[in-house]
Amino acid sequence: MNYSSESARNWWLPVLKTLAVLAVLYMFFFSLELMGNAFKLMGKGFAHRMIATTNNPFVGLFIGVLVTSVVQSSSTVTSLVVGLVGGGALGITNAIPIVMGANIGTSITNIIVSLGHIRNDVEFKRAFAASVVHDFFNIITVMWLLPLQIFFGFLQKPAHFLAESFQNVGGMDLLSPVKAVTKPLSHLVIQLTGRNGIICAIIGIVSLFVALRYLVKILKWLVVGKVETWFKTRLFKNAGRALILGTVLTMLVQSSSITTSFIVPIVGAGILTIQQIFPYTMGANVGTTITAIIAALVIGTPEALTVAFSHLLFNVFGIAAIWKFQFVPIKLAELLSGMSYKRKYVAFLFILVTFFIIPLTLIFIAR
Amino acid sequence: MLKQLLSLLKEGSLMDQAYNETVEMINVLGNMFDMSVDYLHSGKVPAKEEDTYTLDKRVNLLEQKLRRHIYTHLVLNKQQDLYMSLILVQIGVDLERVGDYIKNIYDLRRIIGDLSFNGAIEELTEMEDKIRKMVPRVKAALEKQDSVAATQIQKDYFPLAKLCDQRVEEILTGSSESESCKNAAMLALYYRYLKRVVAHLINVASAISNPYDRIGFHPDDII
Repeated sequence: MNYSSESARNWWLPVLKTLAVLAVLYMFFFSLELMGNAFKLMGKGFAHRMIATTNNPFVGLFIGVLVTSVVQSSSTVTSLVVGLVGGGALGITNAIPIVMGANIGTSITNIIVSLGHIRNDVEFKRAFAASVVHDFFNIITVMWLLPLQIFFGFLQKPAHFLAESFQNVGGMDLLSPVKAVTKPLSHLVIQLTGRNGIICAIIGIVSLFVALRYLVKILKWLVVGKVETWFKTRLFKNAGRALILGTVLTMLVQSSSITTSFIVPIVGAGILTIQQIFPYTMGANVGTTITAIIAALVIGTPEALTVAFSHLLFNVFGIAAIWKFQFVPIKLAELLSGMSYKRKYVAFLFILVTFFIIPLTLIFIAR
Repeated sequence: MLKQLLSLLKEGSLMDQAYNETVEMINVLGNMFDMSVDYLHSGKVPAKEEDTYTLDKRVNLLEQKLRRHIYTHLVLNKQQDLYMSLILVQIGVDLERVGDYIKNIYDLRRIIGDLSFNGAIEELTEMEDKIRKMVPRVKAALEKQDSVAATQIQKDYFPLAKLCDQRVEEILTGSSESESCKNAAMLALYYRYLKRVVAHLINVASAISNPYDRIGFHPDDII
């Protein structure tokens, strides 16, 4: 028996992982640079088609839900959307509903995690409620913010103001050295592909997926072992602290799917309650917006930054509105988990209907 | 908030904390045993803060914290430290049981009142002294992760556990010299509780030295 931590014995691993983070970050920045150039190469025809497809905000919303449910990463989808906006292939107004949809779609991961508890009724009831409370927060927030955005630009206007202010104080130049480093490789790929926009876009999107996938994996290895000591029940006794914990941890790992999935088995075991973890979940929603903000800063256009800030404001406004009414999503989650633990098919039906059937049907009808 | 965050960072990993909790449990159990045995013989009621029930609650809380920390660690780190986690949980369960039996010893005096050990007092005092010495030995073996010392503890204390069983058997078959039913019952229970305390501490020692599937079994028992 050896009580010294297993990870502590491999001292060289963190060094290797830090180098890997730098390499993957480079790949992420490169993918954004390449995508921006690729969309420009593809010309106005592509932009018109994209804009026409997403002109209906509900279609945009459900594209966001569907794509994020499939790739299980809102950071990837929002970064991609920011890339499209930065490259002029998508307008801000069309992009914002997609980002909202990505917020909903990302919660499928922790629902899948909760299904791991399906053999124990009591455990499943708690775990499932802890996972779907995230959905209810997102759905409720979309229900009131999407109409306000459509009719009054409720998110777009303050996000645009923030982006302009940020630009005025020189914030856009923060990551300009990154552009200088990624430009040569991006140009090389463009030359090698014979300036083919489609091939460049495919390489860019694949690079983005791979980079974010491995970035999250490596950051999880690097960060989670260190911050596990933060997972104290006393931190979850105060909603404000839980919110900050969720935000900070997600910013460090760059994935709300990961940080909200951690909490599901802990609630399943009865160590924490749904009331205690709900603010943490909302914090994770805020924390995950950092990836798109970084992407927008690399792309360096005010439009991209406006979309990234819209994502942040969506969550901030959502939290502010629901803070005093946290019982609403919690009660809804408990109601659904109460139904699901008795009839397990309800849980599967919820996943199918929310993440696939409704989005696919509406996208199909709107065509 | 910052002060709290800094104190959290100083606490170390969840596994470190879980390990510290097992050591702390042994410390508390050592005090509990001393106090319960003193109370059993002298009848002098301890102060509330050192009362066996208060200390037992502390042991139970430590076990709950231990489990919480281990479970959360496994959720966050999947299979990392899995073997160590299972062992620490097992040790926690055994130590919690030790606490329960020490509480039972305390209850003997609380329920029965004046006790008469007659001819058994010399042997019982010797057993109690041996157990008093066993507790720091188990703690030291755990702290140093000393499997040789842990194996020696098991070998040294198996005879004591067997002697306790033998005395219970003698009382039940009427071959001992108990004066009354009440005394016989009291003595049988006391030997039984001492045996269980020793047996669970042997289990803890076996968790340090034995392979996982043989925790709680004699080191020489090869299946």
